[in-house]
Amino acid sequence: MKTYQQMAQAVFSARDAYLRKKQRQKVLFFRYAPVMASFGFAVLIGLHPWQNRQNFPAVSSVMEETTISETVTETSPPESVPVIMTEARISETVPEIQSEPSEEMHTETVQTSTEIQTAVTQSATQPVQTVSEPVTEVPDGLSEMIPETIPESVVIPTESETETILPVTEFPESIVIPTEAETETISPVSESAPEIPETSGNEITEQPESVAFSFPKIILHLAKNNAGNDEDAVFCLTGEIISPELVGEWFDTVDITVRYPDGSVRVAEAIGNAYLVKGMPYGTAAAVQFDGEENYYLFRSQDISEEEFQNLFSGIEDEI
Amino acid sequence: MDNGASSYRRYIDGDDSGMTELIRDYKDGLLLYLISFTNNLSDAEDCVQETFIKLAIKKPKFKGKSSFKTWLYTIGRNVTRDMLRKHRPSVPLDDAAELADLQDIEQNYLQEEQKMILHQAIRSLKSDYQQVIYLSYFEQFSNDEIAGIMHKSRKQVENLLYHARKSLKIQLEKEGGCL
Repeated sequence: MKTYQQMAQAVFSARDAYLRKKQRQKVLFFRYAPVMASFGFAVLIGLHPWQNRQNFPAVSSVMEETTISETVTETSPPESVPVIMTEARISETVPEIQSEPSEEMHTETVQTSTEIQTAVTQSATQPVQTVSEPVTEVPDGLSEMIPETIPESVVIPTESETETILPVTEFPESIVIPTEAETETISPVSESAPEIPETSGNEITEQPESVAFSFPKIILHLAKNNAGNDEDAVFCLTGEIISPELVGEWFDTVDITVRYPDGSVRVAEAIGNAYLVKGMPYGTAAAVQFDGEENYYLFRSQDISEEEFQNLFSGIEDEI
Repeated sequence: MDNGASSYRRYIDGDDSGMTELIRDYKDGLLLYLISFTNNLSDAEDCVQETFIKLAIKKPKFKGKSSFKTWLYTIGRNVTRDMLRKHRPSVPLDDAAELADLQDIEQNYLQEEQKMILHQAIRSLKSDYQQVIYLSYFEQFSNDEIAGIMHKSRKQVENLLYHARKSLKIQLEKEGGCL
C-alpha cells in the first residue's frame, strides 16, 4: 500500500518519462522529416520523366520491324545490319508542291520507335540522272550520320552495268555517332564499329551523353500534304537503287530522325525528297533522293510484305 | 477539502506541490470508491495512480461546471472502466494483507466506527449499489452529482439508491447491524 508521497513520486516519474518520450519523438521528427520530404519530392520529380519515357516503345520491338535484313543477309553478315525505314505521309496528287517543294524542315521528333529520322528539303525539281554505275557510297544526307567507312562495306555487284536497280548488299555492322562535343564518344553495341565526327550540317535537337547504341533503323518521315490522307506510312529501305525512269511524281520531303536506345533523339536537317514509283500501287513504294545525291533509293511500305513487294516490283521492271 | 481546484490550477501553472496536495487529499476517498469497481485493493490503487498520472500528463481543463471532487471521481471512474476493459479484474478482495490495508484506509478516511461497519457491509452488494451508497453516504454527493459521476440520470440514481438501501438493510440484518 503506497503512501501519498510514494504515489506522487510515481506520478511525477511517469510524467517525466512521458515528457522525455515526447521530446525524443520531436527530435526524431525534425531529424528525419526533411530527409523523408526530400525523398518524396525526388520521387515526385522522378515520376515525370519516367512517365515520358514510357511513351517510347522498347528498342527490341522496334528492331522487330526490320525488313531489310532479310534481303541483305544473302551477301553480308546478318548481325547489326542498318535498316532504313521510311515513314511517309502520302498525298494523292501534289502538283503545286511538286514544282515548289517545301523548304520547311519537318522536325517531328515524337516518334513511336527508336530510329533515325531525317528531314529533307531538297527541291523536287532536281534533275534526275540515270544510274548506270555501281553504288559505292551512301547518300550525302545519310553520310552525315553514317561513318565515312561505309563505302568500304558496301559491295555493289558490277556484272550488269545495264541494270537499273543496283542492290546494296552490305552495310556496316554498326555506326557510332558522336555527341555534339566531339570529345565524347558513343559506343555502339558492336564494339568494332568505327567512329565518325559529327558534321556541321546536322542540327542536333537533343543529344545523349556517351550513349551506346547499335546502328538504329532509319525512319524517313515524309511530311503529309493536305490531300486528306491522315495516316503516316512507314517505309523501309530495300537496299536497292531505282532507275530514274521509274521515279514518279514528287509527293513529300523526308525527315530522318535517329532515336537511340536510351530514348534520346537526334534530328537531322532535311536531306531529301520522296517520289512515287511508277507502276507501283499507291502507298506501297517510295523513291527517295537524298540531298546532293543523284540516286533514288527504293523504299518499301511496311504495310506490304517483302515477297509481295518484290512480285509487284519485278512486274513493273519487266514492263519497262 | 474543496481547494482541489486551486491545487490543480497551481499544478497547471508549474507547481508540482499542487499535484502532491491533490494526491494527499483525494487518494483514499477515490481508492474506496474505485474498490467498488475492481473489488481488489491493488487494482484500485493502480487505477487511482493512473487517474493522477492522467491529470499530470494530459492536464485536462477543469471548467468548474461541477465540484473538483465530482470531476476527479468521474475521471477516476472512466480510467477504471478503461483499465477493466483492457485487463480483467484479477482476484477478489480476500487476501489478509489487503484486507488489513483496506481497514487502515477505512479507519483513516472514514474515521467513524459506524461508517467502517457500513462500508464493510456494502462490499457484498452489487457494484452499482456499492457505488451509489458510497458516493451518497460516505462522500456526501448529491443525487445530481452522483448521476454525473456514474453517467446516469437522476431518476436512475434514485432508483439505484432505493434498491441499494433495501439490499443493504437485508445485509445488515443478516450481520446483526442497523442502518
